[in-house]
Amino acid sequence: MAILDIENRTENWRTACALAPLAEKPSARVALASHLVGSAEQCDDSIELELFWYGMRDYIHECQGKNVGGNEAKFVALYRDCLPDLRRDVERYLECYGGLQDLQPHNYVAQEETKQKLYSNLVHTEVDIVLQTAKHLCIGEAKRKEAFGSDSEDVLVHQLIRQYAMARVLVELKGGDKHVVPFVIGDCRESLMRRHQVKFMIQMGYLRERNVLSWESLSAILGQDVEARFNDLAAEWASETAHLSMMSEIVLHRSYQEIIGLGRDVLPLILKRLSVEPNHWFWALRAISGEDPVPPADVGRLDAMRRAWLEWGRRRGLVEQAR
Amino acid sequence: MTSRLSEVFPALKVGNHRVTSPKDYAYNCVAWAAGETGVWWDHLFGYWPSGARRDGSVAAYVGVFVSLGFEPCAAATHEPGFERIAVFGSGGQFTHVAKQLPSGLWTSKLGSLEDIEHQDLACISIPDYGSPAQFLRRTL
Repeated sequence: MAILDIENRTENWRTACALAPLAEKPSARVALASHLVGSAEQCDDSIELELFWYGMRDYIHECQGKNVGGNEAKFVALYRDCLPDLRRDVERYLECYGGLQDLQPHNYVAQEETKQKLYSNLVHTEVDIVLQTAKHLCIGEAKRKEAFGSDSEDVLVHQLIRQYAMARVLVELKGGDKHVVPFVIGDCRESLMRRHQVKFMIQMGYLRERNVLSWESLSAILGQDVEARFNDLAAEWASETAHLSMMSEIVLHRSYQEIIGLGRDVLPLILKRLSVEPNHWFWALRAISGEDPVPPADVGRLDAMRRAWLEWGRRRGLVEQAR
Repeated sequence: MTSRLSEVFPALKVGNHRVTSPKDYAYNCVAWAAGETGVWWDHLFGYWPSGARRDGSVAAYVGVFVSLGFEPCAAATHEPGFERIAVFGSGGQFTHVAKQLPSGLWTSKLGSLEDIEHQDLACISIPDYGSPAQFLRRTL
């Protein structure tokens, strides 16, 4: 399908479908961020997600609202400070491996004659996926056909390097307390790994090999964590509410609410747990599914409610053996 | 005393209470005080008497017990010939109800945990339960 028979060459639709659900799934955001930064301890639940992010452009917009000027000079100075040897590094890579587009005299150079274009490059750089943790800014480029943009007319020629430079400058501008962690996603990881922009980023230590992902591996990262997160939350909730009698206090517990926030993925997990050990899962089941199979006469009769929900789950293939 | 109970209710000590049932999700303190063990009473998502005010206030829960024949009374003293309950609240919201036994001891169903007999109401004093907000009694 193509609008006006014109093929959409961007991967934004796929990116949105794969990543937008994370807005409602804190545990999946934690899972992805934990993978990217390589440490679960550094990822708490307050991870922010943005898609199709123009950080520099939006920063400028904020500055204009506050009548703060001088951004061009600031950006160029910070670029020089953050990545002083970038042109030399690209040249060395080219000497050793070739592959990257040959450099023009103005490429990666922050001088008087290039500063306006450098500023423009930074301001107009888009990042497909951004995850912000307390200590990291993870920037992701999503690809369908694995080709990364490059245009020697730009100062910052190569797409991945330009995104990295933009993020480094912006982090520095905002206080410099975050580490920039790039990642890339494409159809085929092996194909991505053969791309010279990816090789350069890895060689420079900007990009970790583990953060070169296929769409399938992304799904695995996001999916694997749901069960573990559910188990942690369920244990915490049961432990902290078992002595309570008021359902409003029981179901408004933060862990229970987060379980509801995990969405339909946890329905089989809740039903499995309910089949083994009765507990007050009915509110969550109703909130997530939008259904309620419990006859009004059975409300409050937990054994009957449990049977009704397990039968409901069995009919939908969400539970293999309803007890 | 189970370690779980002592963790949640630090005032429970050997000698001031005894566990009288296993853990049971089927009923709560409200059902227990009303004399039921097969249903969870709750204004939001459980059994609730027809016509009763449906909110979480102490007043709403007191209203339920009044509909069961209880009447407000002054204190926790033991009166032979009367069944007495103590409705707990915190910030005006219902939290728990305990029932006095003919012996003068009290009995509580602790959420989804066990039923216990306890010497006095201080035994189950925890922030989540607040404090006794209203006593009620009815004739046996």
